[in-house]
Amino acid sequence: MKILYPEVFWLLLVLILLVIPAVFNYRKGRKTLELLAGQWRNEESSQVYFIKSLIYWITIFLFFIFSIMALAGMRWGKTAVKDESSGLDLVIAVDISRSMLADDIAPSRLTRAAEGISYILNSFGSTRSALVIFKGEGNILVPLTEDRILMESALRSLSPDLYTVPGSDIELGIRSALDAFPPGSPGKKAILFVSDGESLTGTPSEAAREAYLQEVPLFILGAGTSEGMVLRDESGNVIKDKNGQAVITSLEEEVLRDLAELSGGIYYNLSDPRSLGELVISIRELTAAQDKERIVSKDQKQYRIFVVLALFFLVLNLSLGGIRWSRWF
Amino acid sequence: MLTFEAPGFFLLFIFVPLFIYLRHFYLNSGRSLRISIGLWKKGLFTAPQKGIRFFLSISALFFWGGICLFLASLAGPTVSLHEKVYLNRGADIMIVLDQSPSMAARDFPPENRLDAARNMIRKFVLGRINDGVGLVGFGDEAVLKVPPTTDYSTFLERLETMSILELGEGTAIGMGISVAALHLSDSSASEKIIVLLTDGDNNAGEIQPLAAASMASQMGIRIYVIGIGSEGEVPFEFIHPGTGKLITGIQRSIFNEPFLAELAETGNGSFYRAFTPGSLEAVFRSIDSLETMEERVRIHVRNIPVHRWFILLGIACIFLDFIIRKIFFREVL
Repeated sequence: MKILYPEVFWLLLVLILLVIPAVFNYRKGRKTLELLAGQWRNEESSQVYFIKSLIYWITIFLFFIFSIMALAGMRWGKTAVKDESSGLDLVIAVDISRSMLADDIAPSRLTRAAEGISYILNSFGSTRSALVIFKGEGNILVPLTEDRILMESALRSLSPDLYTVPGSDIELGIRSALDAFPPGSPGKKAILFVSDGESLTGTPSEAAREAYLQEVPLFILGAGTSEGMVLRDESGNVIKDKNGQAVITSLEEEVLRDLAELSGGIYYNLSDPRSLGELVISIRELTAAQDKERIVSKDQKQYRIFVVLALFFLVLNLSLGGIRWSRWF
Repeated sequence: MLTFEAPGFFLLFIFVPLFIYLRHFYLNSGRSLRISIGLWKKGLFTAPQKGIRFFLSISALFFWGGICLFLASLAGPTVSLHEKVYLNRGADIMIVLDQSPSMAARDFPPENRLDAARNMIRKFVLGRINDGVGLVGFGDEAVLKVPPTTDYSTFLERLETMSILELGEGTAIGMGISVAALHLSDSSASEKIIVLLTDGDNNAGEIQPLAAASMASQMGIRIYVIGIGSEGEVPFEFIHPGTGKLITGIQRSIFNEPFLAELAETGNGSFYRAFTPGSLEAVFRSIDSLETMEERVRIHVRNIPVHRWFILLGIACIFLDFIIRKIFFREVL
């Protein structure tokens, strides 16, 4: 099961706050009832009132809970859709922040990334590919093209010095990669995303969700080790934080795995020797048997069941409140 | 355009009036207490409740509006966008643009040759729909600015950054053609074309233009040559990229027309002269018409579900009504 908008569950907190006015409302109601109905039949009427109030508040709370769940964008199960794409458009996004220079995988994360990408590109025949680089901002280095010669030389030139903006923003990286697909192409879209998972700004999950909604899976290659490595500046000195501690940069595998999964792609570790081969196979699967008419499965969005449940409780709320339970109300 | 995936759910709307009646007009409802209040021998009196009634009816409008939004969300509202998808591969066109200082000559008033060429290239590219377009600039040497791509926005961005003298003072036509041909070598397009825009004679570079052109034609690439500018004395003006100084003067244009024509012939294309802005446009038009291929198009409908907005708005409406009644007016039944 996939939850696209887990942030809506914060609205449940607002609901919890509603318990306070509910209690006040109930007490006020009892007092008014006693005034109007009189002391002598208070016992009978307040019993009915208690049950009616309980039903009212429970049904209204259930209504709100289910409608919030309908908003969460849950998906489970698969539905079959016709796939009419032909060919593959692959946008490669590479993190070129300073932490990619760490040498916890020799010779450095960035060099290994470039080698990996080169291997993957060579495994495909004539695929259109683009190269996007990002750190504090994202840019298209090579627009979508078949020109392999340029791609190779661009991969060799990858370095944090390609532009001067500092920082590391995975969200921007994903968004720039999404922007690198020109309209009008019949190709299946996919993004190959290489990063160490360190993001100082931005909310990567929002961008991954956007990719999912645009049906662009993110195949993520994690560069580095989870033990991490010290960071060095240009002159080779270890970078330290305010307290004099060396800054350690490590591979945030969990973050990257979540992003891949959210977008409908797969995460691989760059230093695992099998991962490049597996990655090529899973990208190939996207375009397998494309010359024939084919059916692919898609996650099914599930909200109707929650809307129906919410409406059911609202109807219950309206009708049970409308029924006359005693002579009084 | 708003469409509904499952309009059958709209049938549920028939229940709405029933519940409106039950909630607002059913006199024997359990949501009401009937109490008679009267003064001794003065008869019954009614409380003037016009203000409250007004607010409550507005509030009820929100409530039923919210219900309708919920019901509509069940019908699966989607916004469908129609997108043209091109099924066949277009041509790949490499534009090779001269950046030598003579391109600063102002014989396309009010612009110089480079700007005039740039404007025409922009128009040309915006008129393409499915063809890959690339850009090579040359002076003393040649540099690939954009590989053949259908990402026209990136192309246009990079076209803007081209400036005079960026690549030295020479005119290395041979280098320009070979760089363009090299980057077309991976192309799977059935038509590969180089459009060379220059205003002079080859005077630099290690590769002879004719050799480059015959190599390109062996690779199945066609070469169109456009000679820009007039002959004779022309004023020029440009900003030196190194020093930032404005340089002005008069130059004598040398134009080696037979050579450019031969180049085009070697490359199986044709040679055009463009003396004026109008003629440059005409040249691009004719290349355009020569290279237009039959296109096979499929309309791809992209459906963006918007039911979340319906539900969100619905919750907001019902919540508003709830707050007005329960907290603002302190309704207890």
